[in-house]
Amino acid sequence: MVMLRRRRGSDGKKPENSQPQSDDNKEKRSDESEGKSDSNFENLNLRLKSAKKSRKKWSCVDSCCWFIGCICSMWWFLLFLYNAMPASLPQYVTEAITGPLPDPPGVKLAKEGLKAKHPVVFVPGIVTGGLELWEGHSCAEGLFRKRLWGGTFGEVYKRPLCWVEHMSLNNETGLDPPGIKIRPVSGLVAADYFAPGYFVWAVLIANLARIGYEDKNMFMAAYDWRLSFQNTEVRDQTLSRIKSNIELMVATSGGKRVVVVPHSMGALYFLHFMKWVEAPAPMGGGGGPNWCAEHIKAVMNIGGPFLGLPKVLTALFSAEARDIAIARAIAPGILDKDVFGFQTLQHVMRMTRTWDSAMSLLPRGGETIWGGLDWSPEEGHECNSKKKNGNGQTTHNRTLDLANFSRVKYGRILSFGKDVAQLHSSEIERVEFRVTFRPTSLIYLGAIKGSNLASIANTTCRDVWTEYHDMGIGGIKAVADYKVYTASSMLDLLHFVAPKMMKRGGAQFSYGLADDLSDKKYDHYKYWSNPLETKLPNAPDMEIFSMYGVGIPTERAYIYKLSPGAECFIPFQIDASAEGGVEGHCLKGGVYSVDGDETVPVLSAGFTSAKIWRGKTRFNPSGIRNFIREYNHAGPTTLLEGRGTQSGAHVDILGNFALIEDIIRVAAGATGEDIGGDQVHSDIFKWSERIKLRL
Amino acid sequence: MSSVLRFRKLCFLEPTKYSAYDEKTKDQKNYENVNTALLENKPKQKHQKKPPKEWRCIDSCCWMVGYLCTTWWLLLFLYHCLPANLPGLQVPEPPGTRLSRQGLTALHPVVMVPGIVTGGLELWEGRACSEGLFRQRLWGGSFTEIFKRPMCWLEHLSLDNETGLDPPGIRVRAVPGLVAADYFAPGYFVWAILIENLARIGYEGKNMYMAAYDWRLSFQNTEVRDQALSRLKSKIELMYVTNGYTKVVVVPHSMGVIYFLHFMKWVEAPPPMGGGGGPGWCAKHIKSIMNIGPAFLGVPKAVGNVLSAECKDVAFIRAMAPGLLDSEIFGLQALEHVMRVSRTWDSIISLLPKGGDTIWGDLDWSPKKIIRGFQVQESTKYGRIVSFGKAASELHSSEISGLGSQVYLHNATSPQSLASCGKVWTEYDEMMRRAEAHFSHGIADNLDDPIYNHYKYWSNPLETKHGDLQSIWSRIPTERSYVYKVSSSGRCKNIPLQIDSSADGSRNGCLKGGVYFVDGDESVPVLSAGFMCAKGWRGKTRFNPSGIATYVREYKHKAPANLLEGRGLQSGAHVDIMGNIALIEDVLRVAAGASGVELGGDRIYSDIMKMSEKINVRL
Repeated sequence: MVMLRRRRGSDGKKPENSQPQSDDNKEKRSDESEGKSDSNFENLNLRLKSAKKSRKKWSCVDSCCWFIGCICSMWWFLLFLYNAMPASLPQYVTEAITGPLPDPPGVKLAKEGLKAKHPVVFVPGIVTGGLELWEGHSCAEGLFRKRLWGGTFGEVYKRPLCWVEHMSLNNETGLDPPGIKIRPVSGLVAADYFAPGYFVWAVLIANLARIGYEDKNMFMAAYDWRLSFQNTEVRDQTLSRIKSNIELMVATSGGKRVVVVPHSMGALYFLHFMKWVEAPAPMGGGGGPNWCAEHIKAVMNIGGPFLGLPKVLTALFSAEARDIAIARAIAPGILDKDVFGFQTLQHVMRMTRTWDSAMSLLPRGGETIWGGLDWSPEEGHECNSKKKNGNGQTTHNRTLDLANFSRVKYGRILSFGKDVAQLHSSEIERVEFRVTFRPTSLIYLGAIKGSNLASIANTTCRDVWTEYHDMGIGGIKAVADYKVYTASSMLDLLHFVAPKMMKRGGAQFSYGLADDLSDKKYDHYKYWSNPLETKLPNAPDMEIFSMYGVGIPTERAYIYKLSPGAECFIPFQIDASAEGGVEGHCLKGGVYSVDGDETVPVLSAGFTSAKIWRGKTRFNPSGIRNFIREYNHAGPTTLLEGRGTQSGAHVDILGNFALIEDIIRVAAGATGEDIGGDQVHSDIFKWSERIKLRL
Repeated sequence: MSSVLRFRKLCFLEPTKYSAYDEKTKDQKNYENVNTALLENKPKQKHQKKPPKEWRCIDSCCWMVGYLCTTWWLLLFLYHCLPANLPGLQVPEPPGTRLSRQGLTALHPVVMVPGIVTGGLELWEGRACSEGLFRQRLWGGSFTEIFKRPMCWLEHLSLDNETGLDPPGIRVRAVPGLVAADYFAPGYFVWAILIENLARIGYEGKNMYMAAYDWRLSFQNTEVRDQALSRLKSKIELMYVTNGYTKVVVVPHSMGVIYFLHFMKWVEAPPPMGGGGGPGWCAKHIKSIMNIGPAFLGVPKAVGNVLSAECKDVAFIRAMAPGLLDSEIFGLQALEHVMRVSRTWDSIISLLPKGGDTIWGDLDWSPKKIIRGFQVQESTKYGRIVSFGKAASELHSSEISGLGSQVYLHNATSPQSLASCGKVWTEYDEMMRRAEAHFSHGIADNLDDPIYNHYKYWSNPLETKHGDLQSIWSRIPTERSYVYKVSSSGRCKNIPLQIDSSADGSRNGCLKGGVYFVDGDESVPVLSAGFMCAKGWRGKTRFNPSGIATYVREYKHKAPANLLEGRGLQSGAHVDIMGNIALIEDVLRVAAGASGVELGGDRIYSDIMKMSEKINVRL
């Protein structure tokens, strides 16, 4: 203090000479006047000072160090305690609180004497499989054979642009960009945990291991889920690999056929595989017409989106669905905040649009399946049917009223404006420009597209490749003017807004509904993953299970609006302000929902097994038996349960004890009848009835 | 926390106040009346003194810890900020990059066969004590479980005494995939460097395969329990087809060499016992085999060690966790426990007889012996190798020494080592008896059993199916490159010395002498590694009737020049050689399609040829 003051005094000698001096004097005088006690005090201080020389050094830095030291020591201490803790302590605690836990199904069934019998093949779905880097640009140095997808996603934070660049595929070919090789992680580790602590297959694997499964009779058919199905074979020979592994497992387990457990998109992938493996060699695997019959015992699809997902439409349309990247859920901050500059969503959209596989999930079958302007199979679904049970009569009446007065028109998958979504079709004024942007009449496109937006937008916007910039303001307006889109016109819309992507996708996937399955054209691989355009293999002894969760509202139709600042942003977005108004209305935050497992609507997961594959039909000529197993969702009752043992959510269902038990029983040799045949909670059969289809 | 903070604040403000006063006291220079002042200020002083007192102990500790942590983080941060290649710290270009610039691309699929110990093992089913370890590595990785629950760990890693398979209720399996043996422990590479360099010329998961197997089992048991051989066969066939019908290049390391030898015999044998691939399978699918540090003739060091008490691989554990085995974590009988566990590992036991039976059994003209005879026979042969090695190394280190001295040494050491090694074997018998007394007679059975089984197993293909063996060699129109390394002198000394600390004192004479004189790569003597290629298989012999091309490539050991190089770019040590640039380049070139002649044929630094000459074998 004094030092400071003195220096100041000497600095400003000339002008303020008198003032500081007088100050000093005053101080001295006051000190003196304060008398001896004070001076004594000073002396004491002096003595103390000599003893406290080291103490004097305590400054801000030191206290920081002290603080950090404190925290570190504490942390280590806790860590030590945690490590010293017996591993079974959490379980004791849990049991003390909630009572004894039920045995995991593996333990229970092992006590019943079940033994590993049929080899098991897992087919992971989209997003859940890990991807690792094998070759990259210079920005990805040091990441060789490190996971870019899955794990901790640390790189997203460290070098976001580099990450996006490496995760994207080539825009034209749908394969690797030059100089970059991202490959799926192989083995069970590929998809046991998606991120640390977030299990995918791990629980199922652990339970299977209890009855004697191990690496030699479990196989994770990991594939690069970004590629189109046929391209996984072209680039990585993944399908050949799966075939060879299945053959090996059948051979080494003494001729026991395998049980295949696909999850999510894996169900479509495996459908593709079954067609591929029996097709003749150049395009297929050359396994001969009986390969499936000889090698596969059962296919147990978990939440398979056979008919596609409405949410994928919006994901591709405006990168907005809740789930196209679980990444969003995992790291909610990054995608919404502006890590990538200010165009996070554009970057994500650019990346996801290069992933062909997303297009395998587009709704198939068009209006026949998903409903037209004025009808839909799920019509009359009550969104709060759950609550009705609890609340008794009054609510019941109200929901009935509600259902009468505004039946949700699910057929309109996307509508601009809430009012439009509810009007009768005759009342909607649609600017009929459908003709103009049908892919068949691309000539007119130029006219509609009008002036190029990219020329207006500044250069930073152009860095981000989205095809909206080619579309022009006219095009955007035209899209909005059409007002209501059904499943099939949505496809046209996507052709309009993202022609390159759809062209690539069109070569790999098909979304139609076959009239004549024996048509030669259906031998092409692009039809193989569409259950509406393929025949099941000739394997009468095989069984197909459709297992999925129900009881969670699932996205089905959307209300859109034009986003205000359409210059640098994606011009369309979900109108989150659109609410149903009444409690329990199916419309929430601009999204109409139906029954499902949060990702896959019941219709998509169950329709094939409920109708087109049931009995001997033209889709299922050999009469493969089909079973529907629905699992009612019940959330975890306490926090200690983690993600729940009775969950019906799309990924969490893999930890559902009932489902695991079913799988283990089948793997140990049971048939569909043995485990109880169909188990249905939803209205899937009723809804399937409404869909008019020649069988 | 807040209270702590407040307290901290108090203490923190005090000293600055003092400093302000201190300045003035200098002016006043009044040191009188201190006592009275102390008295007067007693209450005040107490108030002030209290907090500083606290500073002394815990706080300064905390301060220290915090200081260290902060410095550490700062350094870490700086390290991360460091540009990857500092000037002056130039890391030489990896061979993969250089070769890919020369236009080499992936051609032949590569199969890697790891050796003993380097492959990871994970738990699939265990006792109650191993809870929470499901699918965690028990072997490889950080080995934390050794420290946490040593007894449990040992129990799970040992195999059944009688069968050599899993004990009831325990399933420990090999980690599959490339991760099985890319790194043995964090930072301790095994295959990682080779994989990385292969990736630079275009290899990826689809054309590389790590033939991971449970290295504790005897080779045939890997097929019986895990179908590992069938798996390997199917993988090679798959890669052969999916890569456009190009043959595979096999790169086995250490014990993997013998494993693959086993595989080649197995795959062509008819189904019940073999893989049923038919006589042309190897010729059709395999381009070349590049053995790295092969132990064809066994590991003399191990002859002394493996069967007796602590094998070189347990010595390896020692290297990994130095304090562990010597300190008495397991109670009083650390070594006994280790011995018990390692004795249940058939593969270690089989490592030697394999040398003895396949190779030496053939060198001998009457391979069919009873077990006891076999042991004796082993010892004499062992002695012979030692003497040759001694002679060779003597020649190596002192080149001036004439032939006479060499012969003298040869003559002198031969009987000596024979004697000492005989002692080893008798000692071994004693060990057996002792073991019997110490544990149970089951162990004697155990040791006898595997040897017997093994012997039987390996003598069968060599003798009863000798014609079959001929057909394998004769029908492979491929070349074989044999790669191994030479260290210039008896560096091996170090390891035996380490083993010296084991319980058995009398064994050391042979050990020290035996390994000391052998030119080799710390684990495998040069003779063992190179003899088959230098002589046994060279040209048209009865072991190689069709004259498959064989090459010997030796790599001179050069220790890392500085610490920054890590384990060395030109190392020749048994495992470190996997990071040797010259070796990697050879492997890459062969994988990209080169033949042995294009590589430059033989490259020999040691006296392998001369040593081989000395061995009288009918070819």
